[in-house]
Amino acid sequence: MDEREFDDFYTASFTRVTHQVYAMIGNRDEAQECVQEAFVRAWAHRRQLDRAQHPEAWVRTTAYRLAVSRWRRVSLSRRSPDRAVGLATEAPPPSESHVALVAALRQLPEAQRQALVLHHIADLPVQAVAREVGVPEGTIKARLSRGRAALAALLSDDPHSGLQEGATHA
Amino acid sequence: MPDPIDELENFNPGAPMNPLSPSEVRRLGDRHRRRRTAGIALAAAAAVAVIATGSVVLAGGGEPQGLDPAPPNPSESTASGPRIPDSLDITVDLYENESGEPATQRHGDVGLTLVDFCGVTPFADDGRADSVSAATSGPEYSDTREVVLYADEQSAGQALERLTAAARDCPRQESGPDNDTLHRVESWDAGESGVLVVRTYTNSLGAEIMRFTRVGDALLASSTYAEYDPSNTASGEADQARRLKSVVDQMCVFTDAGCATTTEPPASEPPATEPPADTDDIPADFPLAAGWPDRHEPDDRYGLTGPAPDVPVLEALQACGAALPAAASLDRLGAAWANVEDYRYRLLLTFEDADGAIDYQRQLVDAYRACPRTEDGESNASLNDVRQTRVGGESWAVVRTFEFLGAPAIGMEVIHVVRLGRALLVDTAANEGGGGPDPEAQATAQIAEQTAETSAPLAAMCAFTEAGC
Repeated sequence: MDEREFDDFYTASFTRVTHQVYAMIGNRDEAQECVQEAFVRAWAHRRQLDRAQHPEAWVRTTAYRLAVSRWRRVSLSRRSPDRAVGLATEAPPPSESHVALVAALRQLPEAQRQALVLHHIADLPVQAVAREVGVPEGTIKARLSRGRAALAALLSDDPHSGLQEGATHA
Repeated sequence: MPDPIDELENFNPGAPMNPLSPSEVRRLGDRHRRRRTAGIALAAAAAVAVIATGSVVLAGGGEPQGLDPAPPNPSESTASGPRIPDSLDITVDLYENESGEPATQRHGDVGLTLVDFCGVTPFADDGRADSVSAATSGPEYSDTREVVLYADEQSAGQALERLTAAARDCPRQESGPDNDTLHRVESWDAGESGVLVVRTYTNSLGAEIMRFTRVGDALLASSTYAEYDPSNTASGEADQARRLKSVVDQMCVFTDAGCATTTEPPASEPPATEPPADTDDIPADFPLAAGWPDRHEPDDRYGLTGPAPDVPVLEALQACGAALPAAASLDRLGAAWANVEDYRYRLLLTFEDADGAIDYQRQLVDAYRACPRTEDGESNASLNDVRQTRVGGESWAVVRTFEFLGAPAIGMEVIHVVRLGRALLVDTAANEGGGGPDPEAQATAQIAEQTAETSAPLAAMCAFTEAGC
């Protein structure tokens, strides 16, 4: 991948992957930083990236790993402000519906959330989601099924409707 | 009410703010690379690990085109080469797919050719002469079987050795972000040489149970995935073994001796409750299944099994990752009931005297008491709470619950062990309880329900007391 190809790839994919990782982790600024860092690593490892042939999946996976790793390692509030590779990001507040969706997604188990985002937002078929996550297709089908049901309950207008028993831990 | 799928598919929170320019990303990437290559061996090793991990994950990610591994070459058979007879039915006891259609088998299909252990695909391009496979799947399960025929026994044996070695060499595999795949390998007493591989995940429910065995010139490969509790796959393993028995039996056609002299599986490791020699200690009309529901979903998997002396019960249970101790019982009677997310077993054991029953009851309870909490990977844990109840002469309940990421998870199993005289009743129920806000209340209610439902068999156990009925 030469400079021009990388620039085209970055320009075309950055926003899309950021949205996907945002939906997975529920924090837009953090998602943007992790995706940015993933692209930096992608350029550093571009020879391997060429062989892999699917750079967007590589970036998405790397960004997600970075986000999970950061979240586990340190409290967000205590992290140094210079941790990011890019400029400070202060995104404008998202719309009400996006806030509701992201809030609902954050209440789902991580595995269900990841499956929903990859299938419905990244538009990957079940087989590709299974391969990217590293679990069998049946697992992804189950996570999608339960995740959709739980999400529908969480987004319901009925204030008495919520997660059914055990839905958050399926 | 908004449609969650529409919400997801139209998710667009707007353009990111202040993204780096492409040239700046490249500059930082170059710096990152220089730091790597100039630096410390440890850092370099870590970077290689990142690349390797990325490649593994990427092997299936992204757009599907071009991602699929090279098409397998499952069969090099010719019209004159050895061929699996059409009479071999490998779909026996294979569950229907989600639309209710029975599975069908085909020659030369992919089957389990691409089974992968840490990037090794020992079953691919293995010089096979013929193969036949069948698969079925639903929302929460998938089941695949394949019988592969080789030129001779030696080739079949070598293929099994490659499979076994690949699984043993891959106890843990990083398979995705924050998710490792674990492999447990054991022998399987079926066919002439068999192996069981259980694949679980550190960060998710579910398990894939794989079995491979050789019979003559052929190998049977089977994979069953379902949302099993990773800490207790014993019931799934037992179910799969039971459903494969007929296929293994049919594979006698691949032996030199043919089917007339097929040997039974070796008896070196009898199951925990090997049915004792014929005795009539337990009356034929003992009401072991009384109190259970009489209606279930219309599916072959559901309904009542038994009561009969050979219905496995303790074989479906594990304590602390190990099989339960064998019972030196005089007689046994087992029964099983299954419905959607509702699995129940009962076992009645009789002993020579009350001391035998007391001793075995203590062994069972102690087996669970030894592991009040077991961590299963980074995210899952299983909890065993042993408590005394007041039923019969002496009774104990083992309440098994689960945690996922530190929170109560779906699933509860209650094993109620009641002794009366020289008889022991083991009554188990597993369902989707346990994930609610008050697991303790659910456990108490579950024990009370099981106690009420077993009133008839408990009453009939008076026959095994000194006073009689």
